[in-house]
Amino acid sequence: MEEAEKELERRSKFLNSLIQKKKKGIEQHEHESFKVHVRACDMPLPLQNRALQCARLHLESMPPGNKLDNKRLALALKKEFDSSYGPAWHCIVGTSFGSYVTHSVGGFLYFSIDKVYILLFKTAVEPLDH
Amino acid sequence: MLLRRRRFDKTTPLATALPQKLTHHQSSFRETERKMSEDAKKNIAGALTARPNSDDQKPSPLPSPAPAVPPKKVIIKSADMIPDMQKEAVDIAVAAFEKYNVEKDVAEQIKKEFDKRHGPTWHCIVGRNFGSYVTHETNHFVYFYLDQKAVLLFKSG
Repeated sequence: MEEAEKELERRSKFLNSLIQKKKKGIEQHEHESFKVHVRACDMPLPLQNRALQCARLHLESMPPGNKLDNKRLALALKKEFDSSYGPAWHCIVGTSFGSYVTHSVGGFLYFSIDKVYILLFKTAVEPLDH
Repeated sequence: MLLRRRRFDKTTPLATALPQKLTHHQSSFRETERKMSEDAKKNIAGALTARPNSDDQKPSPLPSPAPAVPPKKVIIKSADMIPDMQKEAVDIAVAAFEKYNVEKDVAEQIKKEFDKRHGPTWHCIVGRNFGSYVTHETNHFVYFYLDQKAVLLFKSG
């Protein structure tokens, strides 16, 4: 009987550990639930990764259940790219829009993350006329 | 510098608009009527001139509607643009919405028309739900609503 009890206890611990691993796995999955799709691109890979990372971090930093503020995300992306890669960048964030733009070579990215679509593109900045 | 044009769309085609009865061609702006709070904002960077821009909540006068075509409700949400050009943007947008059902086609029509009339380079965004942050040339920015659709038009580059 003692052996039987030990065996049951061992199995119980094993099952508990399985459950714990499962839970962690679920949490991990939830953490990575933002699916990213690059829809159209004319941009070096490092810049792409920078944009995707910036967008993902922004979404993850929001309290659960909160609605995304399109303008905040657009501003965050534009500022980061203006400061890192020079002006002028433009960013559009939303769930329902169409567009037609002209962009600099190597300065265009259109991607979706979760249910939000993001357009990021660059135009040349001309010096002021004097 | 070489430039490339791109267009794309993330939207469902426009549903056929039901006829609307309006007793006048202008309407006053009431925030509570709008579900969308997204708005376009401008940011000045580099060599572009920075000037404060106040929201203009007065609607532009609508063009005379064609027979049986109901006039659209126009609300200028934000503008840094001379009034004549604003009216031109609205007129071109109204015509584009009548001609096309897909937002990217509307955006294309508006942008190309402005590139032609006022020189490159213009950019246009059309849709029901979007927020934006852009840099534009002084006196070349407008953001308005045509019924339920927002139109962002600005010059940069």
